[in-house]
Amino acid sequence: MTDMAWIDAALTAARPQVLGALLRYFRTLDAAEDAYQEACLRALKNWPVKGPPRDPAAWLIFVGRNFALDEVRRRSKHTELPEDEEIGIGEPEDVQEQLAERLDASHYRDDILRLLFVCCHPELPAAQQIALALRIVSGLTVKEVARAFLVSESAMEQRITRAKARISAADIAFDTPGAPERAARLTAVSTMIYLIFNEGYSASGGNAHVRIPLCEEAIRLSRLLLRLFPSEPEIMGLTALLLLQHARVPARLDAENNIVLLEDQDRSLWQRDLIGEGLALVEKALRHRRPGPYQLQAAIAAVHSQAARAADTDWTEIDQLYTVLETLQPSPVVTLNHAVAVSKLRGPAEALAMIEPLAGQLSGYFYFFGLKGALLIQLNRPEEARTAFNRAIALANTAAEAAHIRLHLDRLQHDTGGGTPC
Amino acid sequence: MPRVDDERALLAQEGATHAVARVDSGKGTPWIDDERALLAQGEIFMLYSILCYESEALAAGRSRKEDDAMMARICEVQGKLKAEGKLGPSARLMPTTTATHVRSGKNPVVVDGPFAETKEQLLGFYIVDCATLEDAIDAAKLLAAEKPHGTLEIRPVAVFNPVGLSDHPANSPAKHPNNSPTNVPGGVR
Repeated sequence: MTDMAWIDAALTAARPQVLGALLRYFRTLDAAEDAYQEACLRALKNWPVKGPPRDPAAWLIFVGRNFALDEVRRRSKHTELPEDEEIGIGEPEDVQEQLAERLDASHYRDDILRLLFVCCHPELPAAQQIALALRIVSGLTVKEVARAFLVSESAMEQRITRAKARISAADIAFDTPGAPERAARLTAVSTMIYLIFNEGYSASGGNAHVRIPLCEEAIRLSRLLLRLFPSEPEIMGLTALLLLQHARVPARLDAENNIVLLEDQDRSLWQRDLIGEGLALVEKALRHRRPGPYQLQAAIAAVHSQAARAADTDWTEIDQLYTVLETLQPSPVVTLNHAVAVSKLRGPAEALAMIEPLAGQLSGYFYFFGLKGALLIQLNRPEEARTAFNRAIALANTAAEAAHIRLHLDRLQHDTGGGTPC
Repeated sequence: MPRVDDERALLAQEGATHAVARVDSGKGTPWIDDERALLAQGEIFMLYSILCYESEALAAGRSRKEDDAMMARICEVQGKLKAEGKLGPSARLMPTTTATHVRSGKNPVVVDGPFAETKEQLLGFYIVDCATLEDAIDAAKLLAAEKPHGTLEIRPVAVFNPVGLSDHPANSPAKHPNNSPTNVPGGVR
């Protein structure tokens, strides 16, 4: 690794902590970002010459804060202060040390949590929350975020500016949060990370069905959150869930970018290191005996990841886990997924009966019609299956999804010898 | 700081009476000696552990590509050390978020997370067989040159049981088609 690559990695790694601390000092995202930018510029100038500091985050906070305080002083006095290149740079090691200690001991954790929480303000729609988190916390450029959302750079710039304006108008609590408040923030932030992952896992538009960078960013944020709250079983569950799902990425699309279903995937392509880490976290989380939705979803993913072949899948276990998940977090989407397990265990008729009541709530949901079509084929009801698949194509989010359903339709056409138009 | 020469004496003082002794089996690699040979009296060699500490935030910031490139370079160094008969078992540990720790006491308490909130965490280790600390430092320097950041701590080994887990599937990549061909730390993908 070259010097510059190291500095780049150190700046990226320190970003959430530094920005979180600067936000606490300056109370607005813009001021915090300016100070962070300036600190980074000085690091780029200073570190290659003097060597990297022992604690990059503490260095950046110190320099960023000094810069911004200086700016305030300069403006309030209406007089130019002499340009001081050495601000905060020649500071004695123990000052840096002290600052780092203080940060670690008290604020560090809440700083990062606050920074993440600011991004998932309830007034912001989900898409804006994600965009803001990627820009502010992960430090992606506007261009990178725009690319992830398949919109133009200027449109994304506007979206982020609007989101920031909304936040600055809202009240953000800067006191150290109490336990209930911290728990609420943690839940909101977890959801936001989950949304980032989902956006990457099955993209909501465009040609790319999977956007790996978004998944990786979500995993990075989730690991960060878990390092801050190492004893929270739900954060273990969330991290495990993302790792276990992401482990399958190399097997989810074939060479022509066609979707490969779970049961047809080449399991030797699954990423064993991610699965290992995911399984370790699930096991650890379950020891706490405080089950939650993420832990259960992770446990379901863990069962899949442990089956060497699709036929080895322990559907009984999955069925039971979904039953618990449905009581903890009742949702038509959970029931829909539960139906898949039921169809494996007790046949397509029972599964179909289970999902039919969901038709109203899931009338705009691609996967509902995909599963309905598949169950109807198994029940040898090709006409109804075709209707369901046609509806699914109309609702497909990506080209890959549409192509996958078309494959089913073609097969239907073939099996029924041309079939009748519907 | 004790002088280097005092190290063995210090170990003995601390009750490390099992300091590893083994028969030097000529040019053969020491790591396939069986237990009997290990326990037999003979010329005393020192085993050193090289413990890899690194900031996890930084390590997590590496992309898979960067990480693979680094591991490939480290693998080369390992090959060199192996050829010299110096390299023993090595391990890359999962992130500290997967760690659990048990506090000693009459009623041991199980706690999540790493041992302490430190800047750098133990992320893996190597065992090397070297005649002197100087040699172990040289081996560590070779490894350190391929790592972008972090610290390597060299700690002499007091008790070593190399065969305890020899039947574990993780030790025989041939039985596990999904494991990477080389059994290096972090090589299991």
